Amino acid sequence: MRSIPLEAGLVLGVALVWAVLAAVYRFSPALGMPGYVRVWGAGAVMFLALAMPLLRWR
Amino acid sequence: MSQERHFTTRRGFVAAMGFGGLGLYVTWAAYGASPLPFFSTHASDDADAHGGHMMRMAEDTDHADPSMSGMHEGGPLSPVEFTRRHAEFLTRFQEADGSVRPVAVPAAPVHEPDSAMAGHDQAAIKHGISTAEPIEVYFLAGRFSFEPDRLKLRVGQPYRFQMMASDVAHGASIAFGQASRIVRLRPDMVTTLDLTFLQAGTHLVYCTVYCGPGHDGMRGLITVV
Amino acid sequence: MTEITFPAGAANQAEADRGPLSARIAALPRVDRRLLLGFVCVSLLALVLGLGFGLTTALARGGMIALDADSAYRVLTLHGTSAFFWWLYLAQVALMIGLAAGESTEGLKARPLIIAGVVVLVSGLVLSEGTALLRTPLLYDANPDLGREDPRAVAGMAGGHLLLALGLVLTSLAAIVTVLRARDRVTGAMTAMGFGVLAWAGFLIVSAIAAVNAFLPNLLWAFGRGAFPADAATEWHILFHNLHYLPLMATVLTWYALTQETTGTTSAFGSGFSKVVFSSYLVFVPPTSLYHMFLEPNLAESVRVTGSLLSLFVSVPTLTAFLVIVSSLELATRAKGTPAGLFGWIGRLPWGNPAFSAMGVAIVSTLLGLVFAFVLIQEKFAPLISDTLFVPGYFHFFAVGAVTETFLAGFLVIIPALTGRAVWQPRLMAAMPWLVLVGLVIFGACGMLAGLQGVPRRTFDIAYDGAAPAGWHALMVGFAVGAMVFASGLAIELFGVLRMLVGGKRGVPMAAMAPRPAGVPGGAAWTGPIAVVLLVALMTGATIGTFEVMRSLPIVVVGGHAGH
Ligand code: HEM
Ligand SMILES: [Cu+2]
Repeated sequence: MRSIPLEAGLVLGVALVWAVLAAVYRFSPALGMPGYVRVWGAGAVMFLALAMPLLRWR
Repeated sequence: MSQERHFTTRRGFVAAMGFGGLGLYVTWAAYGASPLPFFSTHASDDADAHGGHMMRMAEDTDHADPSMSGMHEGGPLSPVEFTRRHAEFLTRFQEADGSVRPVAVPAAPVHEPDSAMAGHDQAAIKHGISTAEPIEVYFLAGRFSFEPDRLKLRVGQPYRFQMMASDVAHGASIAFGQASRIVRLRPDMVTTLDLTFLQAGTHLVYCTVYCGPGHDGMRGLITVV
Repeated sequence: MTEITFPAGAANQAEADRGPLSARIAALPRVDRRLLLGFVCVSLLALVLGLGFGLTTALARGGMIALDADSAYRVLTLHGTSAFFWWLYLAQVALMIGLAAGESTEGLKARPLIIAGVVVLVSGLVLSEGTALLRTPLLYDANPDLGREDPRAVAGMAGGHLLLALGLVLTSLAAIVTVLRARDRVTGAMTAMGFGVLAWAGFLIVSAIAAVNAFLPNLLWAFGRGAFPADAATEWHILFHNLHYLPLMATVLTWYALTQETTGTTSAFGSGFSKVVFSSYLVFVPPTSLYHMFLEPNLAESVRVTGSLLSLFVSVPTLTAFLVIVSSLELATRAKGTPAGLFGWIGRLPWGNPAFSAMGVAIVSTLLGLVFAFVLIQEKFAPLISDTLFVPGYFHFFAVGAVTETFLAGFLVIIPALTGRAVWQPRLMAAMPWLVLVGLVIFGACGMLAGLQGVPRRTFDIAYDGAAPAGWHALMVGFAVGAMVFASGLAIELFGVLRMLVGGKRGVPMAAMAPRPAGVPGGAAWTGPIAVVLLVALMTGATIGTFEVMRSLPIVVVGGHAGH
């Protein structure tokens, strides 16, 4: 069992939520708003990147 | 240490209280405005069926987005078709003083009544409003005026407003004194609004979206007799 | 399986041990203090502009001064641009950099990024203000539709906003590097504030991406390099939603720092919980974005309805943070000897400290703003109030009462630490936030009532040659009077802050409290929960009131958005 720091867990959680949202906007026809896909998608990638240094400490 | 904590100082309690705003859902549901499908929206029809009304409205939009337009029977009115009918509407109903008084024309193209319209009819019967086919009104917003800017309408007669902006985004709001009713109008996108005025009166119509230097002067009048 | 470690007491103690923020800032390397002071000064310049143009706008709307249409919309453009974009964002950069630097004993990392940030941000400010002053007024959202005949106006406004975005990225990256390097050398643990700055900076960067998404197409079109941006309105909403939550997140982080600084209280709930609350902004903000679009004709009814429901969640992070702070304060104050009654402890708080007083007003103002924010997220009300004066009437509780007061409170701690000058007239400075609140209440009440009656926002001549409903004019006068009151309070606060920069007395800063962990186990903290219950009751009242206005209105809405 490996433990990850709280900070990394939180930032990963955020990345996950943003990725899910981007996917919802991408695949739901009623939400024909590609801008949301771009912005939330980019945010998901950014938070994923931000989680890396938080994970790597140990 | 946590077993000694008073419950008001526990994380779980604080986190739960943080969701307190969700309590408003109860009020929304009570007014039939609950956003979930398992509450019937008919509650709102009943809720609205009180007090003195002079107008009833149903709103719909003909979407430019083809993925949504299928939901509306008859399909969206294209901007080109709107422009044609708007011009025809003005020539047909314009009076000598420049105001426009639309009246029923037997051959007017009308939408098929759909299930939502059936709902209107029931409510309409309850209100003693004519359930006749709505008269189409074509209403165009452009910098910096409405066309027509003086409308003469009849009490109790349903009208189907077909509305569009011609250049930039505009708004149209009808003032009733103690409150107003607003729609946003996007260029080249036809918005449909069914309304019936239940009382006589004169109402200011004004633009609610800043559209340029003449925005403040953009207004019209609806006279209901 | 992985499990997440949840540090409870230890990190709290570490935070308590490192001394007050003002001392840490005073001990920063000279170059960092200079940079920080630079950001503070530039942001205050934006506030001076925002305040002046805001007051002018209000007087014009109240009919007390007459402006021709071009000047009126120019002033409104200058107000929105200066106050919303530049003051709120430059002040955030100042506070973010200050709080990040306070995390590290060696000061800021990645200084070149910050220096580049200063250059970019100052050029952006000049470009924005210059464009708003000289070209076609497009309002602060810089709608390209209104600038079809003046592409340079579109280019200047979009360019200014994009430079702001670039400056935010540069400074946020530096803040992130600084707090990452400041982690505990052995365990890698971050303080709650360190993590808060990380999340905040991350959110700023995403918003910069949203700004590029919204404004790059406009800029390219204006330079003849692309098609006309037909989707500008939607892209703006995405950006705007982020942009008006960021200041709120910054506000809550600043409260967290200010509570420690002015009362010595650290969270009774542990720093881990604070981290969860800070990151919850990033979880709850994106899904709640749809309510800005309720009036858009191309939004499907199902989306409208879901958007309304999701929007109920927007207050969760702020309310939770509110409870953490208020309950910690209550526990800490009671631990010093219990004053009589449920609320007696509130009187023992350091109200004479201007920074604390401003924060207290900010908290009250936030709650007031929330009451009415929850009216606005009900999609059924959109046709009643969405484009009316209701909107500016309520959001100045946030923009001015909550955010601006909090940022000024932060400056009241940071500036004396940077300049060694004492706070000017502390008693007067502690009273002014209350005057601001009084003005806001008048402004908000009149503005929101006027909005409910249909007075449009962004419209200066609402007489319509006598066709306007009779009640409108009196409310507009009240609106302008409220603006005069809160502008006066704000102007005095601003003067006091400027005196700490130039010409003020040298002296000891306001005493920062020695931080200590809050509370005694077993003590109860009722004030926060009671406030939340009261808030929900007020929200309910406001919502019922609005439903009743809709019903008493001579309108029957039948079937709503039929067919969807
Ligand atoms: C310092 C923080 C402030 C911020 C962030 C802020 C923000 C804003 C924003 C974003 C708008 C909307 C602009 C638009 O619709 O184009 C606005 C409008 C307005 N603000 Fe402020 N404001 C601030 C302070 C003030 C002050 C100090 C005053 C007056 C004393 C003021 C008075 C007004 C008025 C009268 C409007 C116009 C309402 C309308 O006609 O739609 N604001 N403000
Ligand atoms: Cu207009």
